[in-house]
Amino acid sequence: MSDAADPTLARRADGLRAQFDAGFAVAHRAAPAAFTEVLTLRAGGVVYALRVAHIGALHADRQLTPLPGPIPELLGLAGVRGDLVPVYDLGALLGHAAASSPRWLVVSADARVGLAFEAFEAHLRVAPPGPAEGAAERTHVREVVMTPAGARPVVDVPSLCEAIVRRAAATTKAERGR
Amino acid sequence: MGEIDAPSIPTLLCRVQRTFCALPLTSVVETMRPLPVQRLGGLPPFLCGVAIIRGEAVPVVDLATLLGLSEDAPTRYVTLRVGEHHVALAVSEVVGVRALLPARLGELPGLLRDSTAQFVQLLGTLDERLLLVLNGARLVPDGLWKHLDSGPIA
Amino acid sequence: MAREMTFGQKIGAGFAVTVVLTVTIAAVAVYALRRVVHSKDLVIDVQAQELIDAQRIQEHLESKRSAIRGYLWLGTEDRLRDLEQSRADLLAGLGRLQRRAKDPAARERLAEIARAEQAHQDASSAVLELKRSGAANDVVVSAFDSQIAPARDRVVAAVSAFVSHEEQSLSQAREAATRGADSATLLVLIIAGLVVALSLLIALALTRALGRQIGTAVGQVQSSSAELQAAATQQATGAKEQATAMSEITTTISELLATSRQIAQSAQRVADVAEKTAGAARVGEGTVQRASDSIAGIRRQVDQVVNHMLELGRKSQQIGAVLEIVSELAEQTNILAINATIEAAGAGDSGRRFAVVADEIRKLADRVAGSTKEIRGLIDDVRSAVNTTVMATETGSKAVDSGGRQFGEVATSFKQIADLVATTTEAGREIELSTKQQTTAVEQVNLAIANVAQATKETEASSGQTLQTASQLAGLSRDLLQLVHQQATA
Repeated sequence: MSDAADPTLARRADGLRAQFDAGFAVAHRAAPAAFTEVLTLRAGGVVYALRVAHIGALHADRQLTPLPGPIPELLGLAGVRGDLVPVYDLGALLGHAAASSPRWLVVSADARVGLAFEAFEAHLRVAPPGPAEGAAERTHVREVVMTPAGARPVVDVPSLCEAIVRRAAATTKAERGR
Repeated sequence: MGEIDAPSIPTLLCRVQRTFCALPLTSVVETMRPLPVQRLGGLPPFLCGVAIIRGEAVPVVDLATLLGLSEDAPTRYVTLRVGEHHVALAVSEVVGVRALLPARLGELPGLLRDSTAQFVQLLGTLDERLLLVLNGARLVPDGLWKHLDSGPIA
Repeated sequence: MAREMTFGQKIGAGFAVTVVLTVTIAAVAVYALRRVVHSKDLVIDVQAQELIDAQRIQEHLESKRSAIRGYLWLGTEDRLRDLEQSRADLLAGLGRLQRRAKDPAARERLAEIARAEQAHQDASSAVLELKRSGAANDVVVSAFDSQIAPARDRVVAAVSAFVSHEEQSLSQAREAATRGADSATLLVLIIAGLVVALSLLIALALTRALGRQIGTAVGQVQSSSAELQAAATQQATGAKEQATAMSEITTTISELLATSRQIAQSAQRVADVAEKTAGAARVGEGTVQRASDSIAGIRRQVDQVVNHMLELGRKSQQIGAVLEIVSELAEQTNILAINATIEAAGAGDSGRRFAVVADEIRKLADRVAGSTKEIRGLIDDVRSAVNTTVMATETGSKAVDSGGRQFGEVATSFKQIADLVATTTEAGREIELSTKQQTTAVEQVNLAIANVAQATKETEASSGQTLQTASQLAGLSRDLLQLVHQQATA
């Protein structure tokens, strides 16, 4: 029961402290000329990146109220800052198998759509994304960013939202037409 | 500063031992944990020395000594803008940002106004305790900046 | 001197004296008888022989005369041979008489006979010659009558004289012999009287001496017989008691026999029980072994618990370290949030929402810091609990060790019990065997005791006989003493 349980951990805390404190000693560095802030996450078993600029909020463990809707990817409604937002399974929307219990939730910047996914990885500031391989075939994934953990395809959230809205409208029209 | 009818004064509330001090947020740059201090000779006792903060040599004022309280190891530095210079205040705790109502604050009694404690701008109470609203610009005597500017660090 | 002589010597001496006297009497009597016999023999052999011989001489003379007459008558020669023979016999007889005769008167008379006979012979020869010469018978007869008849008469007269002489000396010898016999008789009588008197004296002396001695001895015999009687009585009593005791011993031995049989049975039961106990002890040993194994298992589990606890302590330490990081991060977040708030305040209205988020971040950081404090407290509690648990577990471990050792001792004790029980079993078997042998021995003793009891009964009987005999002996000795005393006083 000595304090020598795991010295690396204790040193890590000290390291963090020293690093943090030393950060105050140095002058503010100028931000990189061009950078993009992204969130990396896992949806449908695949790792993706989302531009922070496209996102209004990030939440976890929000209670969903199941709602039958025209689009099968709809999981339900969630209350976000006083608004009710329809939440869709991001993995399913991207063509993967539906996740069992996606606990994370991002809300689009226009707060029209919520996208649920299994795991949040990181908030990163990276170099601007480049075009993804085979971008022409893929509707909502046209870019890729390089992160310290590797390349991550970037999901185009506004495009995805538009698609959802269109589909919903089309379904509603079809129902009305019937 | 000092307008009684102003709506509210956003301040950074700090604690020095059992005394609360409010620093007008307009003069506050940031807070941090104490950084290494280089002691210098010929300084008043409330000046601990100089610390390198954001690439600058910043004099560190021990607020406890300045207020005539017993010495205590500070846990936070609060850097203030004083004209072109910066000064770091060593405090026991940074409580947070508080908007103070000027109506709840009073002028310093006349007896104290001309004393050395010119840095205390207003007085008030917070949770039954004395609250000092400090004037950062008066914390460091003007002569000292010259001394510091001519010092080897600057 | 008489005192020093033994009883036998005294009697022997007395008898010796008596024998000497008797021998003396016998010798005297023999001497006297011899003399009488001699006298009588003399009378019978000599005098009578002489008378007989004198008679024979007369007969031979007659034979001679008849032979002569025969010759004279017949003239046969064989008569002459008879004559010769008769004359030889006559002369032989006469010769014997002459040789034997000591008395001079007898000798004289025998010489007279010899002469008369010679004269007769001569006359005879003359006549015979005459005959032979053939003389007439008358002449011969007258010659015969004249010459031979007187010669014969003289011879007869001479013989008669001798016979009368001899008869006279015979009567004299008879008288002398009768006198000798009388004197011998007198002598014998005198000596016999002496012997009787002496014998009486000796008898008296012996009676006196022996009576005293025998009296003493008989007295001793009597007292001894009384003692013997007493002893015999005691012996009889003792024998009776012994018989009683024997019967008691027999009873006791019978009981002993029964007891030893019971002991044998008990020993058998003990051995059986001991065997069962040994089995139980083996079972107990096994049980203890299993319990010991269980304790070892507990020990291992306790060790595992200790290890887990130590691990838990280390983990909580690590949690502490992680918590330190979390705390650090919370603090940093707190600082950054405050700085963000300050920054937002400088940004005017556009920074207000950002200031709200920053304040939320700060509050979150404060909550994290509070949580880390709580967690630290919990970790401290855990560490304290782990310490306590480890100490308790170590105590428990020691207790388990102690228990294990005790179980080991118990196991050892069980082993010892098993060994001892095995020894007990063996001892029980040995006791059983020994008791059986003892039973056999006791049976033999019982037999021997029965024999002894029989012998004791016989002893009792014989001691009764002894008592009887001793009583008889006492009576006899009393009688004897009485007799001796009577004699002694008589």
